[in-house]
Amino acid sequence: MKRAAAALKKEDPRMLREIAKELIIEAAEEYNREKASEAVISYALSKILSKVHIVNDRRWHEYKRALIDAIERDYSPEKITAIISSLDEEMGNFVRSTLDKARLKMAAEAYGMGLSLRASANLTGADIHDLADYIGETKIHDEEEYSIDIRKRVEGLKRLWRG
Amino acid sequence: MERIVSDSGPLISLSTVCLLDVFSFLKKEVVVTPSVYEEVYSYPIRKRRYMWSALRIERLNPRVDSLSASERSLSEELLHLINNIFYSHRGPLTIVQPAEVDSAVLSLRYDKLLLMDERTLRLVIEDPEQLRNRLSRKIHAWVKINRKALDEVKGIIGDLFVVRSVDIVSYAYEKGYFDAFPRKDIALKAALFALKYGGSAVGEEEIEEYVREKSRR
Repeated sequence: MKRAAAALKKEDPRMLREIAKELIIEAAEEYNREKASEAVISYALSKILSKVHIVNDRRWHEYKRALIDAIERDYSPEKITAIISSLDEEMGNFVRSTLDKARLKMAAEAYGMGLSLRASANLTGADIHDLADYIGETKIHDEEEYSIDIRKRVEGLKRLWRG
Repeated sequence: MERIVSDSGPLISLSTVCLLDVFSFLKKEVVVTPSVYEEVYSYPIRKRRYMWSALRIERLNPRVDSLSASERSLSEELLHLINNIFYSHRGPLTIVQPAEVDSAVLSLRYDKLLLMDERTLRLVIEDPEQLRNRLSRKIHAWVKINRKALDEVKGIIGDLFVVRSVDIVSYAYEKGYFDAFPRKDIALKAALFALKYGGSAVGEEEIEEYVREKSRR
């Protein structure tokens, strides 16, 4: 998370996204929820930095300082997520919070790697219903080969159900 | 009435696109495990965004079957085996959770037919190499298969027949489910894409190919 703090100081959303991606790959490989939480936080911070109305707000610098402190001194994911939630409440425009979106995005990355929907949702704390909807909008399933297609499965059902 | 064990995904997708009546049309009773029922009803009924879908599933009235003690034991063993099939230099990869394995074990009771939209468990049975390749590519590291674990898994659920919500709806189409629509081929295509966008693990090309074939007849 030191790298995340450095990226936050420089206000570099691209670096935060890269850090998030590296972390979620490791988290999925180890099935490590703490690392997944760090990935979620890094991604959430990248989304905050990409919102012009937030970084241009006079309140942003206070939040930024609080976030950097929470990361660098006595790292506490709970404190960081509380700050992000507070920022969302004060300056956010959407029903779905920045953290929920980050959990979804990181879960989708884990699903894209090959973990099941539930395994991915449980890893990051994403809602499984939201994750299914989100994945449906991606091209993840279009990348897959299909040896047993719809026609073959329908034929299988016809055999099983005798018509 | 014949029964079909379902995981959460297909029920949620079918509910969202108003196609749950496909089961009554086909005269099939849906069976779920308690954890699936929790996911499709008990949890979403408390969330405004998914409350309506939950109520539709409640109206479907799926049968809730718990695993017996021996099935529970089998499920735990299967979970451990599946999560030890693929491994990287960091160790075995956890790819599935208890709930989907419970559904797989329950389906052994009912014609070994499982309705499941998500693809990981299905690929473990049907094409573990494809799953291994995907894991390797995304992790940027070699991923190997523990053949012994894979063989043991196949020994337990190797002959499970997995279908997705798109397959059930396609089967229903062939039985006349969309006959009331003026353009039933378009209705089929629309329904299949709606399910795909709801999370069913099916590619665009696969749907187009099937719809094209049906339109030609």
